[in-house]
This record gives sequence, structure tokens and C-alpha cells, in this order.
Amino acid sequence: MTNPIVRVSGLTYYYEGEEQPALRDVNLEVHPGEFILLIGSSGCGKSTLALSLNGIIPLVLGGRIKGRVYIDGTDTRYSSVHELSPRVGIVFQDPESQLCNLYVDEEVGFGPSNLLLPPAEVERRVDRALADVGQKDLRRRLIYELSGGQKQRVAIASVLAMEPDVLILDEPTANLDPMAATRMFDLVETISRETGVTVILIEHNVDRVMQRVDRLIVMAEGRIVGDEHPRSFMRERGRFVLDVLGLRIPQACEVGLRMEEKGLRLESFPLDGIEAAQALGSRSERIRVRENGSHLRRAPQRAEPVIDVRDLSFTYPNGTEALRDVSLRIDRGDVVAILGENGSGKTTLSSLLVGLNEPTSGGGVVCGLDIASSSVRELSNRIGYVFQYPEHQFVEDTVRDEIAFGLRAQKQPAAKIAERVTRALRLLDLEDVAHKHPLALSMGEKRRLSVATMLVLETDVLILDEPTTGQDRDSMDNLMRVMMDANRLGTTVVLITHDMDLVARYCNQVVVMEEGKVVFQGPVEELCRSPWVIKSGSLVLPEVCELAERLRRNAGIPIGDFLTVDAFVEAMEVS
Amino acid sequence: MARFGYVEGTSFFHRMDPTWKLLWNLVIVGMVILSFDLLYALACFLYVFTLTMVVARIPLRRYARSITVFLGMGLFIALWKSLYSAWAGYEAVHVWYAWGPINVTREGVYDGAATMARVLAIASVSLLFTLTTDPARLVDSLIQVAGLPHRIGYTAYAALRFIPLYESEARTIKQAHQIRGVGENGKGVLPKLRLYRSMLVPLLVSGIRRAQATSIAMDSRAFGAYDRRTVVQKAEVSPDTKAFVLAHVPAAAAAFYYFVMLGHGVQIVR
Repeated sequence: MTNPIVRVSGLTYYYEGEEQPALRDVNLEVHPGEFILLIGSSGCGKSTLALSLNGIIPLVLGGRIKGRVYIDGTDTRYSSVHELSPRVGIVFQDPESQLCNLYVDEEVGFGPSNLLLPPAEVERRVDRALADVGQKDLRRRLIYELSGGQKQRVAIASVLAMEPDVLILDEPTANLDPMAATRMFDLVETISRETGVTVILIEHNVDRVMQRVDRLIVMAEGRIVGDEHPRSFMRERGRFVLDVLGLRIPQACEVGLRMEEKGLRLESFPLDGIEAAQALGSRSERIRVRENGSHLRRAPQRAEPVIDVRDLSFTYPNGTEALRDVSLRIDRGDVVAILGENGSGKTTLSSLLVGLNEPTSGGGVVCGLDIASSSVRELSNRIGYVFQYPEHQFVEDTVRDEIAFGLRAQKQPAAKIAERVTRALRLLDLEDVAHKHPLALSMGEKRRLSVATMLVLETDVLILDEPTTGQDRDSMDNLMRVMMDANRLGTTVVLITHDMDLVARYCNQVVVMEEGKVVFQGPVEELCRSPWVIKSGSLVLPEVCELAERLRRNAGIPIGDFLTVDAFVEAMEVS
Repeated sequence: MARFGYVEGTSFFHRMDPTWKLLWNLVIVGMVILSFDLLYALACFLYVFTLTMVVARIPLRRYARSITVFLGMGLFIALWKSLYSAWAGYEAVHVWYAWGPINVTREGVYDGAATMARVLAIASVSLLFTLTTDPARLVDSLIQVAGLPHRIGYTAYAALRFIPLYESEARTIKQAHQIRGVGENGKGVLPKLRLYRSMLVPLLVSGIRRAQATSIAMDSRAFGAYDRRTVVQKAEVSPDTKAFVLAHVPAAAAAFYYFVMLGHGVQIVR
């Protein structure tokens, strides 16, 4: 075997001023050309490990460090960031923060220029790196005019231009819509196969990745708790990852695990939908599909509309036409997802519903109020809006005051405020941090607090903008449980999201937007049967949906449409 | 940001080296501040305005959008100076109207108008600079021509790139707080102040976090590894640029001689 390009031994690291280590006794060897997937809950040390591979830890960030990191035999403690940065490149999660130039070519040439490479070489590398990410024509474009997916590609190119031995990508798809995310994975796989660079991919979104990688590393609480080929690891310890660590695993793996638990031993453990279809198809003689084999619910009776708007159009002052003739009806008690690619008008639409913007034309009724003539204050008493980044919405100095804020603004009696705040603290598991400053909370706590501030107002409608941002499977499930409880009590829930799994598990209606228009509105189940909607919304169906389709087509198993693993597995009988 | 931002073009001013253009700016500004004369300041403004329209070919509408801010500022000063004339107690002052603190004099109105013309003259030359200068070239030129250390130049440049980002973030935070019921509709002075006060902390927090992330990302690409960086875009100063800037120097010297040495500049009250 070749010499490892990365060798980490006994690495323990404390951030400056922290009592708890971020990394605990980490041991790791990475060989040239490997394609590694690194997973773990947020705050488990994934990003810290990445930063310690290119020397930022400890050379820039300081802190206390024990153990060693060798990059191609060089001890990082006695090296410098500019010696290490051409060897280990990191693409960070948020492209906005890492792009520091105005033009694409300057950005991609930034690293090579810092290394004082000759101008001709800088130019050559810019061309090549842009070609590697398939964005040659962006060369002279302004960065702030690019789409999220393009920015992320430019960020990758700017690291590739350093010609690193190891490329680390820290959640590159976190801000992308599903289609852009899938394309991103294709790109990363191509880079790995064609340039021979060693790739370490940090991801939450594992569905379309697991099958592509050579090796899976799982982290928890600063330690590496698993390091194996994904196939064997998922079969042996997939349950542990799912149930104990509370992380996502590919739906195909979940199906595989649960079918084996039902007694159907699969020849090869599946890592994606195609493999799952093959594995199940080859044992089709032992599989019976219960009843008509579809879990699709009957559409519920139409109730009274809580949102009923017609022909809404909106143009921003700079001339951008964000919405065109949008008509939308949402009934009381629905759980609705608004889907669509970034920039399709989802957030603009919600800003109109809560009165933050006034429609250029069109109008309608939200919770009995006319949206064109009602103020934000009037509307926000009836319709709550949880923003994507919880920090944006915090206005008070303690968690308790934060939750009470909206009630106080409504001039509710003190006793009622106290009672509702206490209940919200308990419901969202924030009692222990009630006295803390909102900004001092963990990411998951912040998210729960932002939901609590709206939930406590007991509005008719609650809009959540990208609730999955920075959330693990577990914390997401907890949050959704609270939302579903509120929904049972009559609150209408609207989710603006890219997370199709979330949509499949919790929503009954979907609205798909494209270029400022609503191109589809209907029951979730109908999405499966409407490929054109999927395409126009830049959506990607849950893998289990594709799995059912393949089984039907290739293995002749008479099976209907499924959107969730639960429903799929329940419908399967093993003889 | 966009109000004052760069307008693409190929004119003489667009091609001019930014550092030399900055020098030229200083010469003109120097000329303007030497005199309080209304006609002189107006002449300076018209000269620069003509250059902007005819040579730099900036569309009038685009220009109007930028200059109106200064026009408003100038008008405010002019009005203030006209109403509360500082020459009220002097002799040989032509009082047009007096009532309580308000004192409208011919000298005050003249002074107000002259100040406004100076504001416009200085604004117009600065605008000609920003409208025709690509920030990327400005940084390149400041580092290569003016000898600015690249760490400082580049950090300022990176900050520039974040202005639109912060603008949109400020908008989002403002809306997020309006939803919470801070500052009602954002109309009226008090609600507005309340809104800005509550926006401050989240804006700062996200600003600091972003700055940290950016500096780590820049370090990760070897920023500051050496005292120099590779020059990909070479900044060149063409002879006509130098000639243009130098030609203005005698005019400035003449203005200095006439207004300061001969003492014409200080004669405000006639």
C-alpha cells in the first residue's frame, strides 16, 4: 500500500478558552486517491478535523493540541499554513463567506497568486480549475451575480487551482436545491475519478452519495466511531447510526436494514435506489405486496381556506419580477410544502402573505385579513413566520424574554404570558437554558427557540423557512413532532424547504414554484406521478419513490407509489 | 451600493489609471475648496459634469440617481444658511426678512447657494471617479502604482465585496424583526429607531462570524504567504493619463495664486 497522504495520531484539540475538547484521540490514515464520506451530527468535530488537516488548527486558531497530524510526512505543527494550503484545500459550507473577490477569474487565481506563481501559470490554473468544475464561461463574471450553485462551483475551482493533494468539502450542498445538490455530487465524483485528488466529503445529505464513496467515516462527540467501507458498515451498524447517533442514512440502506430485519437476507446490501431495486428484485419470489400496495392517502375533504390569494404579482424596486400571477389556496389544518429551486419566488410569496411586502397587483385574504390593506402587525398576530436563520429574529437578552416578547407586544395579561412561556419552554425542551442569552445557544436550541417565539403566539398559520438548515435528523424529528402537535390543534403549517424526505413524511399538500409562478398545487402523492413537475421545480424525489418505480418496471412486482420508507416497508410481506 | 457603483465603459476615464485618476480628483477638489465664490464653484461643477457626460458617457438617468443624494444634502445646507444667516449682526448686511431666530439676508442666501455649488462640484468629481472605476482595477493600481501594502489593499477589497451581502442581510433581519413586532411598520422616527437598535446585535454577530469565516478561507488559500502576490493584471499608466492630470496642475496653481495669494477667495461679503 502507498504511504498515507494524511496521518493523524492521537489528536485531541481544545478551542481557545474551551474546557471540552472538540476532538478526542482521533486516529486516521488517508491514502492518495481515496474518496471518503465523513458524517456526524452538527458539532461533532467534523469541521474541526478538516481545519486541523490544513494547519489552520493550531497555526491560526491557536488552542491546545495533543497528538500529531502529518501531511505527506510533514508535521503540521512545524509547518506553515501557506506550505500546507497547497496540499490540503478546504471548500467551506457557505460560499458567500469564502469568496473574497469581485470577479470569478480573480477568485480562482487568488490562491496561486498568493503563492507567487508566474502569471502564465496562474492563468493556466484558472482555466483548468474552471474547466474542472464545468464553468469555463464564468471567467469574467461578477461573483455576486452568480447563482448559489455557480458560487459553490467557483469556490471549488478556487481550491482546485491550488492543485491540492487532498480536497475537503464541508457540506457543499447545504445551500443548494435538490437538483443542484445532485449535480454537485456528480461533479465531486468526477473530480475524484478524473483528477485523482483525494476527496473528503462532509455531508448530512447522504442519499445520493453513499454508493459513490470508497470509505465512510462516522464521528460522534469528537471521536471517530466508525471507519469502513460503507456497504459493510451500513449493514452491520446502520441501525446504530440511525437510532443512536440520530443521523440520516440513505433510504436504500434503511429499506435494506428493515427488509433484513423482516427476515429477507439480501445478497448485496444496497447503498442506493438502483442497488436496492436489484437486491429486492432478485428475491422477488419471497416478497408479497400487501393489499393494493400503495400507502397513498385519500385527499381529505376540502375545509375552509385560511389562505386564499389570487393573481399575486410582485416586482422588486430594482425591477426583478419575483412573482407572476400567483393564485394559491391553503386550507385550515393543512401541512403544506412550498417547493422550487432557489430564486423561484418561495420566500417572496411568503413575505407577501405576512405583509412584509405589498403585492404589485392581485390580492386576497389571509386568516380573514385582506393582505393588501393589512399591516405587518395585524397579519403577524394571525400568521407566524420562522426565518431560515434563527439569529436573525432574536431581539431579547434571555430565552424566557425572547419567548415572552411577542405576547408582551400584544399586551396580554402577565399571568397568561407566564403560563404560555412556561409551557413553550417545556414543549421545546428549553427549560434548562431559559436564563441564557439566545445567541449563546447551540444551533439546535436556537432553531427550537425561534419556533417557540412563534408557536407561543398561537397563530392560525405558521410558516417555516428552510427548517432543516443545520439540523440533524433527530432534532428535525423533534421539531416536526411539536409542529404536528400544533397542527392537530388546528394550526396550518407551511414549510418552505428543499428536503423532500421531510415533505414526504409530514406534508399533505405541495406547491411547486418555478420562475415566480406556481406550476403545481396538489396532494403530495401526485408528485410521484408528475415527472414534469419534478423537473420544473428542480426537485429530486425521495429514493424510495424511485425504488418502487424500478421494482414495478424491472422486477414486475405489482407495487404502487411510495414516498416514505415506513410505508414502503410496511407494505412488504416476506414469506 | 449600486447607486454609486461602477458603470462599465471604455472611455478615456474608464481606461485611466485609478491612482492617477485619484490624483486628478484631489487637484480638482483642491481647486474647489480655495474659493467661496458661487460662479467659480458652479463653473467647476459644470466642467466636471460636461466631462462626465461627453467624455465618460455616463447615462444621464444613471447619473441623476447618484447626484440627487448630494443635491438634497446641498439644498438642505443652502436652506439652513439662508434661514439662519450668520451675518445677522454684521454691518452692511442686506436683511430681506427677519422673524425671531430666522434671519434671511442677501449674503446668507448667496453663501448658501455657493456652499451648495461647492458640494455639487466636489460630489461630481468623486462620482466621476466611482462611476468609471472598476474596484478590482483600483486595488490593483493602489498596490502596484501607489505602493500600498497588498494585505491592506486586499482586505479593503474583500470588505467591498461584502457590502451587497450585508445590505441584503440587513434587509432580512429588518423583516425578521418586523414580524416579531419590533418597530411596527418601520414608519415614524421612534419605531424606526427601535428597529435599528434591535437589528444592531444580530447584524454585528453575523458580521463578525462572516469575517471570521472569510479570514479562515483566505488563510486557507495562502493569503499573506509572501510580501508580494503575483501580478496578473498589470496596472499601466498611459502617457495621455499623465498628460491629462498634469495639465490640470497649472490651473490649480493659478486658482491658488488668484484666490489665496491675491486674496480674492476670502471676500465673501460684497
